[in-house]
Amino acid sequence: MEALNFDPSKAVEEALSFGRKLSAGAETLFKLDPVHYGATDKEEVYREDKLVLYRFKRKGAPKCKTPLLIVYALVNRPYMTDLQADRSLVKNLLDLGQEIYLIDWGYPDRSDRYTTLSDYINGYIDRCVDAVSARHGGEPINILGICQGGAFSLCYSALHPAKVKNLITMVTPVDFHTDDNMLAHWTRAMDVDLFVDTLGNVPADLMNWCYLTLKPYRLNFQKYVGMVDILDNKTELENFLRMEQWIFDSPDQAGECFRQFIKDFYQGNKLLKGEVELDGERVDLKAIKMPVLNIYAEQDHLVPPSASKPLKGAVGTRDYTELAFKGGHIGIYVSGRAQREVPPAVHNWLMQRS
Amino acid sequence: MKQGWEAFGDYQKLSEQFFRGMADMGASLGLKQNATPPWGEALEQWSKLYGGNATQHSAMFEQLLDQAKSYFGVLQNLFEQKGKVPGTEELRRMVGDFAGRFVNQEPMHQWWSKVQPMLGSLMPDLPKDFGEEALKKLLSAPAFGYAREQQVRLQSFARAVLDFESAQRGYQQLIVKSLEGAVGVMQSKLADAAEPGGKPLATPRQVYDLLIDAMEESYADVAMSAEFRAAYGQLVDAQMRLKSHVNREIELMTGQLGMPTRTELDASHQKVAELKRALRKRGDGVSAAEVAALKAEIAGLKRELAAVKAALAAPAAAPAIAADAVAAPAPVAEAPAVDSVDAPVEAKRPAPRRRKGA
Repeated sequence: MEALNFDPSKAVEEALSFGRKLSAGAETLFKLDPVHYGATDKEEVYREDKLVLYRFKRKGAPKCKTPLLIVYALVNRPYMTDLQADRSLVKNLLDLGQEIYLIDWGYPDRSDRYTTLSDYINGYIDRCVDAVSARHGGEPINILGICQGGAFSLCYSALHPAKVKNLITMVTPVDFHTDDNMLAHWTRAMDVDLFVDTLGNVPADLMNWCYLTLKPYRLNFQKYVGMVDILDNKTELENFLRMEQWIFDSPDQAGECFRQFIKDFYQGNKLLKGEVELDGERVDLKAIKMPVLNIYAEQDHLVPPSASKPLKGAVGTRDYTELAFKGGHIGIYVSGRAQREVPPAVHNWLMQRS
Repeated sequence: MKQGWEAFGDYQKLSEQFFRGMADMGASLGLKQNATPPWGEALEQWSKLYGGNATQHSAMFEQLLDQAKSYFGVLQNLFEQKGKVPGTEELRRMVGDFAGRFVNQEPMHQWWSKVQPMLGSLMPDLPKDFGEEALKKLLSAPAFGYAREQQVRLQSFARAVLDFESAQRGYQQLIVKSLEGAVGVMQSKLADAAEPGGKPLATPRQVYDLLIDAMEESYADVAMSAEFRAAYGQLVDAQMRLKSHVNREIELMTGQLGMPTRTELDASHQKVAELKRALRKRGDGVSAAEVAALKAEIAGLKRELAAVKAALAAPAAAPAIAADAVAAPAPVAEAPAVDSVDAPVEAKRPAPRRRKGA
């Protein structure tokens, strides 16, 4: 049997069809309005430096009386959680009855170069938690930490357990030294001090390039060849462009925070070892006694499941739940499956503990 | 199938048929064509057609066309082979096309390509007729005299350039290694497809997708190796050393022009950050003292309440005392919710004067 078994005339037709789609796509592309993101109406409730704390508006009283604060990563922008009406973790959670707040970190500039990990966790996050809590009777709140924001939330919950009622981590790395973690593998041989001392803040372009090189041929080539297939579909094209905007709309990283995060988490694996120190206080994950829901994505190439799952043995809580999502690091927010599975799982888990 | 390919004619004929199709589609938009354009050039012309359109999405379209060329590269190879399974050389050519595009996009590579011509006289002048080792030796020679410091600096800068180029070569060699591996992986996948029970590839797109799979598979193997980790670290470090030299030379130049430098600005930012932190801590301190005062007040009220209860329990207790006691806890209820930690210790501290607006 031959490995290749295609009809030459069909092959030419495939090429022509590709050209036709490019042609139609050119027409569609230039007729498109700028894409917008953010489906849900929100209001600003607290502001500090470049950070803004938002509350998503809802109709009627929430079913869950404890508010939920979303702590997103510093890399990329938090509107991934509310990308568009039919792809929105926030909207789905609101519809189910949650009261939701979200931290938007903004875009750090050179004046933020000396903002430390502690400034973020013991400073910004703590004050946001206080601001949310103050609006709800001063009671402890629920936190949903995403990716790096999940690692921050773990640190925060370990250091301020009385302020957190329930903790949810999504695609959150805990063990940075697993065999399948390419990103962690690469960072271990680089001189982070030299890196930050030279660059000041870490440019978003460098970060994005690093992510793209995790799967360079799929993400730099195949994805765009695949895009030709949807060029004649305005809606799908807009969805694609919205995702592209999110992927490359990345803030620079504050230098000092980046330095400690890479050294302690990626290189030293200190979060799992209980050796991270913030303001002289050790972050001990065993101090996390509140209920924990850990959601990871089975096909996540940025935070492999093996990096997330060790949380189970690391936290001190007896109420630990794990949820494996069939998808990737981004699909966990935007895929159709995610809309069906993730918000109800989060909501039900919280309601059982409200 | 071979009959089909023969019947269809040679590659040139296929190419012409494809391009005629493209040209027909573009004719109404004013696309002009070369007489005998290769596959990739058809896309170049599309690119030019839309290049002048400065809408938000034109850059996207440019990029799309560029990526589409990777597909057409594969397609062209397949047509040249007239549907035969590509051999080692053809596969090498296919993956090689990807490699060039991949490596040239690297941001620090692009940074250096842009910055180097701008540096002009700030760049150390490296003799071109020296071998790398001899040049490194020359650059390690001690400097002396009035311009000693400048000489040392420039020699170090020149060494950083050489190290950067060397680290880049080391990294690129591993990329090439991964691509060579991809050829083997692809051949193995093609062999699997030809096996009984295998799945022959029915379209050029399937060949393209399989090639991407093969390249990713081979790249992942190389990228997870200790060798790659070391080379990656060396490249990043070399990039940073080079950039720090460029930064320094620019600082020296701007300093001579009386302009504030990045170092000076950073120092100011650092001071502001430290001041903010100190201010915040001081604010927190006042707040903690207030909490301590409230705790002391609560303790006092509890004592009073206990005394009142005791008095009420006694038959001679006056009703007026009970009324006072009930009213007393009211201010406590207004106190903010706080963690009840270290209460005994805090309570012993004297309550500071409350600052207005604190």
